[in-house]
Amino acid sequence: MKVCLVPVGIMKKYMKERDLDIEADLTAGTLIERLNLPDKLKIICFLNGKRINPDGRFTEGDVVKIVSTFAGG
Amino acid sequence: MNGNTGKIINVDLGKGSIETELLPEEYYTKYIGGSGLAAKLFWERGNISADPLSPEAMLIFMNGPFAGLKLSGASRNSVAGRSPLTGNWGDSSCGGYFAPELRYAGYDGIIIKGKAEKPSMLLIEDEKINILPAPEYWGKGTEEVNKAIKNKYGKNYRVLVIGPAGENLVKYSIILNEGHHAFGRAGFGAVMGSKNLKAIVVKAAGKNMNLADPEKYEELRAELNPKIKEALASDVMRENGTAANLEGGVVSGDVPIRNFTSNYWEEMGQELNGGILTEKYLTKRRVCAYCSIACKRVVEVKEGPFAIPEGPGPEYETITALGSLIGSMDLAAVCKASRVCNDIGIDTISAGGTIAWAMEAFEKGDITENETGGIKLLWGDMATVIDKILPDIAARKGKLGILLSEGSLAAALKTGKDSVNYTVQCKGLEVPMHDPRGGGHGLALAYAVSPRGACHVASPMLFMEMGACFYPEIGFEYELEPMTDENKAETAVIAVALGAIENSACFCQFADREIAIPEWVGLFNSVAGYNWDASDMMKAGTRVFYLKRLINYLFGRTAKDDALTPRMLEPARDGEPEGVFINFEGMKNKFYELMDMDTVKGIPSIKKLEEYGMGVEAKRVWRET
Repeated sequence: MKVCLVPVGIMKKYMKERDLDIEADLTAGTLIERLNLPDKLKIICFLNGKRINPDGRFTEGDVVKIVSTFAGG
Repeated sequence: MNGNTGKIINVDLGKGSIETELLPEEYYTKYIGGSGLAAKLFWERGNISADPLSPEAMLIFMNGPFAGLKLSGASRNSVAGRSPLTGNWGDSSCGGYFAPELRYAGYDGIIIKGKAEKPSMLLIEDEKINILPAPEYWGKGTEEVNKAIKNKYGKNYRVLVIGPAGENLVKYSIILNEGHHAFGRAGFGAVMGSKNLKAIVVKAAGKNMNLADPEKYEELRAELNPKIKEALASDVMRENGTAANLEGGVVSGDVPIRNFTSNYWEEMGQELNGGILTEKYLTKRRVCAYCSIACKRVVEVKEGPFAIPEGPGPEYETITALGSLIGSMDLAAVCKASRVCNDIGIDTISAGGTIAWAMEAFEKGDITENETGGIKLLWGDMATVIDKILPDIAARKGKLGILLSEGSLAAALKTGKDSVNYTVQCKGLEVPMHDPRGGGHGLALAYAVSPRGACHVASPMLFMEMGACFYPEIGFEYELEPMTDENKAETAVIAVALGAIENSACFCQFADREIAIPEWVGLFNSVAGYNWDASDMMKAGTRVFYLKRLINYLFGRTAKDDALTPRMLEPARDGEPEGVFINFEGMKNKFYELMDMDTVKGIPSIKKLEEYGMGVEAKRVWRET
C-alpha cells in the first residue's frame, strides 16, 4: 500500500516529501529505520496530528509527518 | 591554582573601594566555578534579608574553570545573586566574549556591592581596576553605549552594559555583552542599575593560561573541537539557528501559543522557523568566543513597517516569546521586537510571558483600558507591542508600563481576580518556550525544582527526553518517552547534577551535549587539576544543586514553591498533546524521595547534606528543629 511521507522542520534537510510503497503490517519503527536517517536524530511519525508509537501501523493513503525531536533554546 | 586564577575582585561602589582576593582551592573543588561558586560565596557572604535592589545586595559575576580555553562552548560567564524578579536565588549565563577576557586579565570573578553616588562604570585592565564616572552613557540604549565604549577604549575591550530598563529597575532587565549576548534571565540588569553601574569593561594585555596538564588538555581539545563542530546539532544550528526545528516543535506541541492556551498553529510554524529567518533576513552568522557552532544570527529587515538595519537577530526563545506566545507569526516584527528588547535591555522570555499574560487578561476582561491607560491589548498586535508596550515597560511609564515592569506574577497579584492562575511561571520566573505538555513531561518537573524558577537550562532534561544525549557511565543509557512520567524523576536526579556541572563550568549546553562523562572528567582534571573521578564530579554537581536549594530556603522558599501554575498543568486544548495530563505530583514526590529532600521544607536531610560534605550548611538550615 501507499503512504505519503512529509518531512517537517529540519527533516526537510534529510529527505524529500515522497510516496512510499509499504507492507500492510509495517510498523512506524521499522519505517523510520528504513529511511536511513542520521543516527543522532530521534524521529517520530505523526498521523492526523498524533504521534504514532514505534509499533503503530498505517493504512492506505496515510499522510505521515516525519518529525525530529530536535529543539533549540 | 590551575585553570582558574583563584582570584576575584571585590568592589564596593558605595565606598569606592576595590580589592582583590584569593579564594581557597577547596571552594573550587567543592563548587566547581560559575554559578556554583557564586552560590558558595553568596551563602557565605550574602545578606539574606537585603532587598535585591538595595546597596547591600551582592552582584556576582563568575567564570568557570574553562574560560579562555580555545574550546567550543567553554567560555561563558554566570551572573548570580538574589533575583529582583523572583526574590529567590537567581543566576543567568551569557556567552559572548566577556569570560575569556576576564580570565586573561587574571580573575575568575567580580563581587559588586554598594551603590555608586552617580552613574559609573567599572574598567578592568589587568591589575589596573577603576570605578569611573559614566554620566554620558546613562539613559542610553545598549547599542549606542556598547559602540561608544568601544570607540573610546578600543574594539577589543569587552563590554557588559545595561539599557534604560536596568536603570529604571525593571525587574527582568538584562546585561548585554558586545550588544548581542545576554545575561537574560532573573533581572540582574536591574541590580546593576540599582547600583548606578552602567557598564563593566575588561581588557587583558595577554592571554596567559596555566593548566594542570597541558598535554592531556591538548589531546582532549583535539578530539572535542572537531566532534562539537561536526555534530549534527551543530550543523543544523549553524545553518538555521536555534529555531531551525520550530516547525517540528509545533507538530509535537512543544511551542507555546497565545499564553500557552494552544499547542498547535501550523501556519505560524511555517512562518517563524529558522529556515525562513535564514532565507528572508539573515546577513551573517556569529559565534561566541572560540565556538565553532555559530548559532548566533545577524539579520536585516530591509523594508516594511518593521524594517531594521543589520544587527543582532533573534534566537528560538525570542522568536517564540515575541511571536507565537503573543499571537504573532510576523517574523519581521519579531526581529524588530527582539532588537528593541536588546536595546532597552529586557529579557525577551519574561517580556513575552508578561505581555502574553496581559493580552489574555485583557481578552478576559480582568484588565481593561482603565488599567492599561487606554491601550488595547490584542493578540498579534506587534505595532503596539513594539512602539508602545516595550518602551513603556523600559521607562516604567504609564499604567501598563508600570504594571508589566514587575513581571507576570506581580502584575497578576496586583490585578487579582483569577489572573494568577493563567500566569505561566514557577517561583515568579516566566516559563521558557518549551511546553512540557508537548515537549516532554520531565520538563515540567525540571521547571518546578529548578532553584531559579522555570528554566530550561538549569538541567539538560529537555535534551535527555529528546534523546540528544546519553551518559551510560552515570546510569543514563535508556531512551525516554517524552509524553509519560516514566523514569522522569530518576532521570531528573542525574539531570540536576549535570545541569549544575554545566552551569558551574559555564559551558554552552549546545556544545557540551557532545562531551561524554570521561571527557568532562578529563577536562576538569587536565585544566583545573581537580583530580576527580566521575563520582566526584557528579557529587559536586548535586552539591551545587543542594546549596542553591538551601539559599532559597533562607529566602523562605519551601517544597510548596516547587510548583507549576494551573495553566501549565491543565491538559492541552489542541494539537498533539490535547487532553493529556502530566503526572506532576507523582514525579515530584519521587524526585523528593530520591534526592532525600524534606517534603515540607524542600531541602535535603541533615544526613544527606553531611554525605555531601555540607554539615556546616546543614546546621544553618536545620538548627531550628
